[in-house]
Amino acid sequence: MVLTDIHFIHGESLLKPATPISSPTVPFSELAKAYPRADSVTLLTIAKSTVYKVEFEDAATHVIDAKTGKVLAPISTSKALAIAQQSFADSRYADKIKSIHYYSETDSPPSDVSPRWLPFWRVEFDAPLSPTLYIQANTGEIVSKRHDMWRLFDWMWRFHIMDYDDGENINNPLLMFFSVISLFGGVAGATLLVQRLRAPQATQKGEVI
Amino acid sequence: MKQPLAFIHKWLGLVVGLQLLIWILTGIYFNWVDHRIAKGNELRQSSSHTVKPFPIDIIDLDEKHFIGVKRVELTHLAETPVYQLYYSLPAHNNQKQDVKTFHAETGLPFSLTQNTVKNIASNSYSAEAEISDIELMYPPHTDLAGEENPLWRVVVNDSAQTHIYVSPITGKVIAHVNNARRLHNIMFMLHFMDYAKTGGFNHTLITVFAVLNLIFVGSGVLWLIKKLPMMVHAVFSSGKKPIELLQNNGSSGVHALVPKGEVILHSLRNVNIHLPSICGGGGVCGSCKFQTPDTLPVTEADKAHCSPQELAHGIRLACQHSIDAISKISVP
Repeated sequence: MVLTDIHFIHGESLLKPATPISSPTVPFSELAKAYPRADSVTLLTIAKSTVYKVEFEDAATHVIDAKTGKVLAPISTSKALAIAQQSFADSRYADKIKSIHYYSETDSPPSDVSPRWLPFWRVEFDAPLSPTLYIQANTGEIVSKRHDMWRLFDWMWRFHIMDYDDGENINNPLLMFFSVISLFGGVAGATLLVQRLRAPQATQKGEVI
Repeated sequence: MKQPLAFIHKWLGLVVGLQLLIWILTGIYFNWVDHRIAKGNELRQSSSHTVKPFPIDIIDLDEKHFIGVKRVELTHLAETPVYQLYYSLPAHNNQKQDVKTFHAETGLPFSLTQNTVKNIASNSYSAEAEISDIELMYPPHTDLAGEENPLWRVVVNDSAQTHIYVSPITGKVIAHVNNARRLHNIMFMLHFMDYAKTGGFNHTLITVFAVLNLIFVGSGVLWLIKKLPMMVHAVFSSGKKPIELLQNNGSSGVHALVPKGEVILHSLRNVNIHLPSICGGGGVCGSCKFQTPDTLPVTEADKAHCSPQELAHGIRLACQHSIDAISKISVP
């Protein structure tokens, strides 16, 4: 686990760096007038287009085109594909899509992503380590990025904490059982080592023969 | 180095054994501890915030403000409408952030006042917080390894020596660091061998120790596998006993199972070790000399055929002593 860079595991190298925004045609003040009760209004770039994301306290979200001021519909298949391809860092594989799948709010999501992002699109690239991007269907934001090394790391973590169902509970009795046994083993080993180093082997006396 | 596994296991045990014990002990701590308390959050509460509507008269930022900006957010910071301009979008909040904040009504730069920070900190603390000091601190932070941003440190005058850290950028509480959390920090530092306080485990020292530990454990497992048939035999075969055949220089050698209850000379014949003997075991010829580090009495025959120096070095006649009396032997 210590040998692999944790930022690589998190898939931070899978995406191109964010591009600067271009200044909006529809100004912030209009958005503030239209949605005075919003928690926040964020201007950001999603797949080359500048959009406003309006978030409310109850987690409801609107996405508005910063050029036209129109509320954008949830992400379509082709839009999800475009977002995935334009964001993928490795240009050699950007147009090689292995699969694309939509998960609605009632679907059970794949195990490598949190259900709180539902609904989303899952786009898997036909590239080494099967890189996969999860695109939130309402906002078009990339909410999660996974590859086989992440999946392997996830299993190593489960082995590390000996929690084999979801890998989330460090306070599990199985780990306590084995770590206490390991402690006995470790202390016994240390004792043996001290004994062996303190008393030079009795056999060393017999060097005459 | 006739037993490389034992040699490797012993010396690696000396080098990495202490860290292995530290890993086990800190692991037991992480397994046993209540993480909410250990992270310093025993008295932490989330503050309920009511959304204030945006005012009618917010101003629009001049276009030049958008140059090089990755993201702009219009929101409330300490109940004030603000624009926040993000020049970088780090993957984690502890990484260096580059954010400028402007008042959305005046367009002037905006930052949290000490008083506001004090309120944010007090509201996050479920008991009555008596605050003795507020200061903007710059990284590195002693209490928070890996935090790269400046943070407000609010010192609470309580028995747990709580420090509440507030982000000057987001106005959010980053952490409650009290004595429980400080212990947790030390445990993490030891578990990650993070003596440079990077907050992570991707560094050379732990990599070296991890690899050495793998070799240490691997050599132990291989050694055990090698000795396993012997050990199983020793348990299940009655009438036989293991004996260690030493190298001539006295270093440890191989183990053999030999019949119990016989004189050494005869017992060793079962494992094809034929000591020279002319008289056939009568103690007359003095040919069947062997040496042992174990303590043995001296018989008349021993005395007759071995010099006092030889006797002092554990040399005896194999026809004179029972195999039961020794556990180690070396033969010429």
